[in-house]
Amino acid sequence: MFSFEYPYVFSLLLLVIVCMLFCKEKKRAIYFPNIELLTSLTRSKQVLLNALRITILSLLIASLASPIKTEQIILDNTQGHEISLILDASGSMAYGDKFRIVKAIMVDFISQRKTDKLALSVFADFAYTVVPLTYDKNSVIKMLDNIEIGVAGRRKTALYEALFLSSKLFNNSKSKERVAILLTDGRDNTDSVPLEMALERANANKIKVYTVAVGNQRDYNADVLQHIASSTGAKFFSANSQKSIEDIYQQINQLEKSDININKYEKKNYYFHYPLSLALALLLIYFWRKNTWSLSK
Amino acid sequence: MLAQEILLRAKKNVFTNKSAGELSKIRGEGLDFCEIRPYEPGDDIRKINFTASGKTGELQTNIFNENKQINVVVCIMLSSSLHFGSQRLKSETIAEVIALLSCSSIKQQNQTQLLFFANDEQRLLHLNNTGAVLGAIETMLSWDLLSVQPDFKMLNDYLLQQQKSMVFIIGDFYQQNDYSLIAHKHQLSTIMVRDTLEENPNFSTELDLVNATNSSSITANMNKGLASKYQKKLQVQDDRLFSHFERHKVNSGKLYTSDNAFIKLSQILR
Repeated sequence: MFSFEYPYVFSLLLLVIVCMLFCKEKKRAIYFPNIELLTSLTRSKQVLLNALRITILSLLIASLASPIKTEQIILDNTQGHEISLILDASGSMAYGDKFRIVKAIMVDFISQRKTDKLALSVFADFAYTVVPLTYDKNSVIKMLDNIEIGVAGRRKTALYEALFLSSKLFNNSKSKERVAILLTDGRDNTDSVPLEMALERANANKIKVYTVAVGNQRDYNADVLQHIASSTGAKFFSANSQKSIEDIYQQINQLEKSDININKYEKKNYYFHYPLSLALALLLIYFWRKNTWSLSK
Repeated sequence: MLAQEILLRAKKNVFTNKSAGELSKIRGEGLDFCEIRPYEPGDDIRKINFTASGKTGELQTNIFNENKQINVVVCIMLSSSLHFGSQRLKSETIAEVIALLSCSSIKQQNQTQLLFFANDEQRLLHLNNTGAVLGAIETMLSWDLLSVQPDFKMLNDYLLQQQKSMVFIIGDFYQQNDYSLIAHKHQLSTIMVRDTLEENPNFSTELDLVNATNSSSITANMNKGLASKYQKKLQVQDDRLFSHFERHKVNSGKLYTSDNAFIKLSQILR
């Protein structure tokens, strides 16, 4: 991203304007007759010299403000977290506008995980991976935005299949911190993948699976969700309001904090020499115009 | 002190010089017969020469030279640009010109008027003796010229109301004016007082040049090139003015502050 390292230096431009108006250079002054005729001869040169003066000073100030281009360099990807977001997109999520609220909270969560890899999976009648693990947060947010209820069916809840599928995303992972956040408002009612197999896969890949149950307590199986969380070394949360869902994601965010300083640094490319060189070149032109303009004629 | 010095120098030059004749060449109301010529509308009917008219069969009129005692009007066009000079100020040179013309006029016993035109002000002095001339020189030297601009309308109005006179207009002539009507009515002479440095301002340095009229200033590197360009442009202006004088038979000349004013004036007004 292009920016200035010391943007406040541009306030010096005000000083330049004030000086141009009020702090005029003192020279020997004489009364001269017929000054109108002389003015007509010197006006264009005076305008040119003033323009050069202003340009040179502006360029010098721009150099002093230090134009830079900043790039984020991540030294060691294994130091960051890898997080898989698993979202229930079954028909029941439409009740109470749960799906929209959860999506908004997840977008906020994704934005806060600046140095982590993220993946997104959804499930209903079946489970599928929307975005595999990636640093491209914008794509994850965009895809999440486009997901609607029914993209994976409406009637069933393939919870274990989603866990299994999501766990497989970490097969080639080098990260030490692997996390899955599974959000649902129902209980598994498909036979595609048994719970044990899904848990085995999650444990094999050393994934901490945070489980979040939303909605009415009768609709989801708290014991199973608790079991999944505890057997992977994570926590089970339940919520029945927007605020409590927000709090849960905030807690997970705090629990799985990345050490940003170790993982990345900012590479700055300095560009001050370009305006500085241009200012010096214009300064030479200025002196040449000021002293030898007439001799060349 | 400077005024007395100028007057003494002028008196020495004028009163010891015998070369100037006292005859007037202005045709007018004098008794000195000049010629007979055919009558023209506007001629005085009292001067019709009936003898000559009878001989030729058409009206003839006598023409006389003007009386030797003529009216001399010296007009000084004051301006802030006169506050300039390398060896001496242009205003001092004009004071010397006033002294020379006045002494010369007094010597010939002419009626001499001196008029200063500046801004909206017009000051008239009658110069009948050298004491009045000294006062006129002192007035010229003590005039605060800063912020002063010449008033040509007042000059035109005044001179067009006066009887036929020998008129001298003195100034640096940077402002444009039409002198045709004045030249038609009077015997007009113009003396342009300049300084060599103002026509070729090669100061070889960067200067703040201040306009004495309004105190505005410009910065200019007054080197050889700019001086040359300025000189050429000024020359074009002056040439235009001198051709205007020539077209209207105005006796004109340029007097530099470094010139010997008496010799130069003698050449211009010969």
